[in-house]
Amino acid sequence: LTVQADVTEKIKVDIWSDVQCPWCYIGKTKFEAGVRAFGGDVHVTYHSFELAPDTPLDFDGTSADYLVQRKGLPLAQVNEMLERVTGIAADAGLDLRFDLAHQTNTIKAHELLHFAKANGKQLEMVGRLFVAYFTEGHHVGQTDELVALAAELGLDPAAARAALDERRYLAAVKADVRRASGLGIHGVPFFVFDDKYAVSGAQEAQTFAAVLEQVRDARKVDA
Amino acid sequence: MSEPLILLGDATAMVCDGDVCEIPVRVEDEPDSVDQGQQTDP
Repeated sequence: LTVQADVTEKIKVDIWSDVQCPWCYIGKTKFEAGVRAFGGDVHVTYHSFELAPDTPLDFDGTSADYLVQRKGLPLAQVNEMLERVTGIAADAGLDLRFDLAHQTNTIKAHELLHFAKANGKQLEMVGRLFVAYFTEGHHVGQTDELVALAAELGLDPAAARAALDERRYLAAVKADVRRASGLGIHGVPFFVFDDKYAVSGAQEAQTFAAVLEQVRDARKVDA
Repeated sequence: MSEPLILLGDATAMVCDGDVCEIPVRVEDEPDSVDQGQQTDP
């Protein structure tokens, strides 16, 4: 996946995603495989989407706890559901550990993504947060955890903490959410190509590759 | 992005919408099951 400053010849891809969204993680993986199969350069920008903004930042429990306690779902149904998602993710090469996951509000994680974007590390931060939440059991609602993850990527921990404490990127997160609403985006992941074409959901890699080819061909027609 | 987006790709892909994450099921897989096509977001 190549990301460079010059986007004039690259296909522009805007992706709306949430940190706790398993299909976003799976979709990211398949999209990147699709980009590799496509072979051309793309310029990717991630945008914030809050699936469950009413979740408390300090919710103390796993994904299963959240669904049972706050959504009133039967535990057996929850476990079956998580097993299905885990199996589909495994097919994509991802290790989802819902038994370790800390359900939380993702607003601060989104703010960190905007901080990372401002410092040239957005894509790395997106990937790091997915692994942190889905595989490693990090609590991505806690500032200390987020700062440590930022530092792992070479970002200034003091600057990351200050940005989170001051809520410096809260407005940017909310602007992303409003933009999604304006585009009619109700679910994620959602991919927009060249501000014109859209793909909804965790599609197969070959589908993403075909769409990228279609977008490139459309450019030739427009030229 | 003022023009309506042109939707490409498979219309039945997996997506999280609010608290619901859908897993599409092909008609030939489970035609009798109403609940097979959806699951709730973890």
